[in-house]
Amino acid sequence: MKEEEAVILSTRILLPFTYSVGRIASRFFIELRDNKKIMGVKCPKCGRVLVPPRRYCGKCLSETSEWVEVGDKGTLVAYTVRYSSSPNLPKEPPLAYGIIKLDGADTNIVHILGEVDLDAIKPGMRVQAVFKEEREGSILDIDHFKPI
Amino acid sequence: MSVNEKEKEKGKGKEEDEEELLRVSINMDLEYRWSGGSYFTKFYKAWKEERKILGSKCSSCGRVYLPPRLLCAKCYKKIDEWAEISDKGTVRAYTVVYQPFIDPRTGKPRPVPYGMALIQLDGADTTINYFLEENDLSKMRIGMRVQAVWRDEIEGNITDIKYFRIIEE
Repeated sequence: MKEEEAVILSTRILLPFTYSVGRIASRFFIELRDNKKIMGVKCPKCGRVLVPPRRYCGKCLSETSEWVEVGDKGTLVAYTVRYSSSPNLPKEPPLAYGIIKLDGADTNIVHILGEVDLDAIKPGMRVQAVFKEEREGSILDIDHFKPI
Repeated sequence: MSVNEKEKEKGKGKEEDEEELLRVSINMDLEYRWSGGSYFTKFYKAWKEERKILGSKCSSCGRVYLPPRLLCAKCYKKIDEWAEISDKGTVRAYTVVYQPFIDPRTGKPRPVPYGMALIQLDGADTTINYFLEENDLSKMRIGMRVQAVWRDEIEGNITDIKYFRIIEE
């Protein structure tokens, strides 16, 4: 069979969906929205502070109940910079993502790094949450984390 | 992905009536490009440029695959013959859909009811799954004959066929 140059096809799939975030995550988002507070839960058995909060501790499987506020400042654990674009990104690339351990938390969160020289990002640097003026109850109520 | 909407969810428990619970709506929008490979490319070009439906034919067992396959699933042999397939065929199974599923092409629920069928086009040994013009179950039967109703503009997509219409022969 004669080989032809393969055709390149474009496909776009749209999948809108809605889900209930549950009681624990609802409180987390509501505190971000109404009070600009980042909340975690403390495991009654191992004492870890989980951010984002979870109903059950992933290590000892205990049900969590105690809410604690953690800092809006934290330490950058790891990062990457994205250069490619795709629909519905929260910001235009190049876009830096960081894994951040907030003060008082024992787990890390992933968020956007902003107000930063992309070449100057280093693990271990101190960062602080910058909240949006208009908040709707979403992890993106924190616009980004900036170096301090 | 974007979080574009938050709304209150009504509490169901007695003591939870006052508690605000959130829902998150996400518009997942996936755009991607893929290579059709040499077999699909030939099929695609014949479809788009000549409005022909091509299947691949196993020279060992004679089975004709639509869409065309590079290997025969029965003989495990490479297929190197082509066969032209009719846009008329026979319904091997059918259903009427009443649940408005999201159509991933539009992101909106597809209007119901609509008929769907497994159709064995004349010249093919395999069936394709596609829409029927008819949505009345009482007018359908296994073995009925159907023909593709094409759109005026050919874009090189299965949606160039609007649906299959029941025909009398």
